[in-house]
Amino acid sequence: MTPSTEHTSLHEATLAVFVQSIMLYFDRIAGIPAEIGTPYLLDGDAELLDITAVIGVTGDIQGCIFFTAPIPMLDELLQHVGEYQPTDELRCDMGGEVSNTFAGNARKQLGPGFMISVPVVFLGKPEMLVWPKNTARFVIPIMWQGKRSLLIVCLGDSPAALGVG
Amino acid sequence: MIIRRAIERTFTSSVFDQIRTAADGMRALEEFKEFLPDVVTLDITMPHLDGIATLEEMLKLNPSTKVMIVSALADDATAIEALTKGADQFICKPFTNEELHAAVQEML
Repeated sequence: MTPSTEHTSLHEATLAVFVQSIMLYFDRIAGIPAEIGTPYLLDGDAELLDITAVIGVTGDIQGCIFFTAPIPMLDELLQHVGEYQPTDELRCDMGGEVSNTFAGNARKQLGPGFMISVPVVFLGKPEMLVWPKNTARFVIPIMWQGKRSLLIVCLGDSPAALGVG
Repeated sequence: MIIRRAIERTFTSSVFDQIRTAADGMRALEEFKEFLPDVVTLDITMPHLDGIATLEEMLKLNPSTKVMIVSALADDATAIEALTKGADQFICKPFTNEELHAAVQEML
């Protein structure tokens, strides 16, 4: 296997783990499965939606994971966990919870060396977002109940820094 | 917050007389010292003090407290670590209200 093929296989395997986490989440929380679009490699800036949660990853694999979602999707998810009066605080918390669950569940396959941070959540687009260097950025589109969110996976083997401001 | 609120809604007046919540491990320990609960549910991924460290501190203060870990960390090693360090139950997110209820009843 050539190095580039090896890396592609690594990415494919990791993305498959996240797809499983996503499918499990929507099925368990709402009983309504999500549809996963074809993952693609991001070139340039990512599209960020209304609320974005970021999880830092350290250990065996390093980088970060973004979950970015529109408010209507978060409001509908909130209803499924018993919250019928959404506020921005609850929406941000929902975004953080979803990202934490996607990343945490990935440890079932990736193991305890896949160490995740507490989510950092922001409303709207940050003034500054510096993407990690040395990592490929893959986008997994998630369609659920007619709404679209994105999981952006930026992971590599070497230390990566992220700046949000 | 939404998980804490969901747990509170699920158990208020049905199983427990009083429920208190805390946003992180440090605050949870402060509440624990004052409230001395019979049962604690703890996430692992928390700011300031993670759930495993919080669990250890709580059990030093009162070893008979029943503790259920509620976490998205789905690897076996995390569950084993929590149970080895004294947790009575481990439930992995995402879960339904029914699964949460059953896990608490099993622990009691």
